[in-house]
Amino acid sequence: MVQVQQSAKIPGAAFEKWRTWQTRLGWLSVVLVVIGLGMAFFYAPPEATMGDVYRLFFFHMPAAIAGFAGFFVTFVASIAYLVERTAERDMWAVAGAETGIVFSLAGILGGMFWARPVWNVWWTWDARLTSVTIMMLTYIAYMMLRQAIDDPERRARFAAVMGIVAFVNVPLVWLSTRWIDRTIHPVLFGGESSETAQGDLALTPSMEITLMVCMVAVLVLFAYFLVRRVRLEMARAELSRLREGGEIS
Amino acid sequence: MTNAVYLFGGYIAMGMVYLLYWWSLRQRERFVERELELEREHERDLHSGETPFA
Repeated sequence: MVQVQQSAKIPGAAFEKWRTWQTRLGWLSVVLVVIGLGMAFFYAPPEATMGDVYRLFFFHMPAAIAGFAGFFVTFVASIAYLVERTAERDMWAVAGAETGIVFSLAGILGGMFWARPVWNVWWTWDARLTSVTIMMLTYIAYMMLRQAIDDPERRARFAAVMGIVAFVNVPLVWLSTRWIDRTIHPVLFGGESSETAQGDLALTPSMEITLMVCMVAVLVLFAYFLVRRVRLEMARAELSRLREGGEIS
Repeated sequence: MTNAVYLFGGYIAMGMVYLLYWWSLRQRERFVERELELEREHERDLHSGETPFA
């Protein structure tokens, strides 16, 4: 009977290099998230009108930003792939899209739980929420496109084009609350909230420090997931190589 | 529901998303590692000239 070992060695300098980074980022994210949660609950003061429920903001906004970062990775890796077609660039593109979807989903869920007591609804077809939905559906379609094509080179080429085009959504989501006057979603940075916005808050210095710590924590967590997802793609590529009759190292 | 329920509910929902994604990555990694090991075992058997029924 074949003995299956859990620690299969996958050759490749890049795979080993990113293993070290994955471990470091994983432990660093755990420490930073714990500190961030502690500050969000015990250091930041309650908000004047919303009370304690606004504390969701400290992980809601960083999750949304990390989602954008994931899609930006896909955008850059897709351009890089079309410039020089290497499998590793395609791996970064798919990893960026998947982690971007995960962090955007976390941001949306956190926002829904904040919206219910503040806006009195879980969901509304506001400019920001509608544009986020379109962005999410576009990247889910990107993942579906990848599943639908068997040939690796063709899959990577088609996905690269879609990864570039899909990124148009990201600035539209960012600008949706700044360009459209009638929106319920507040703007905290880089603009003013519209008159119809609800749940706006003025950040005190301790709230700003807490937000910065939580932002770093979530971005490190994002980097951890991104690296881990890229390594999974590297392992899959090695498996395909072996199945196609390549040499064993 | 009180604000505290929404606050903790929101954090649990966000945490569950990350936890499920971590679990899904782990499951996929384990699957690939098992398949890799099986492929290597198969190749070793072919090169050694031994058959399972020898």
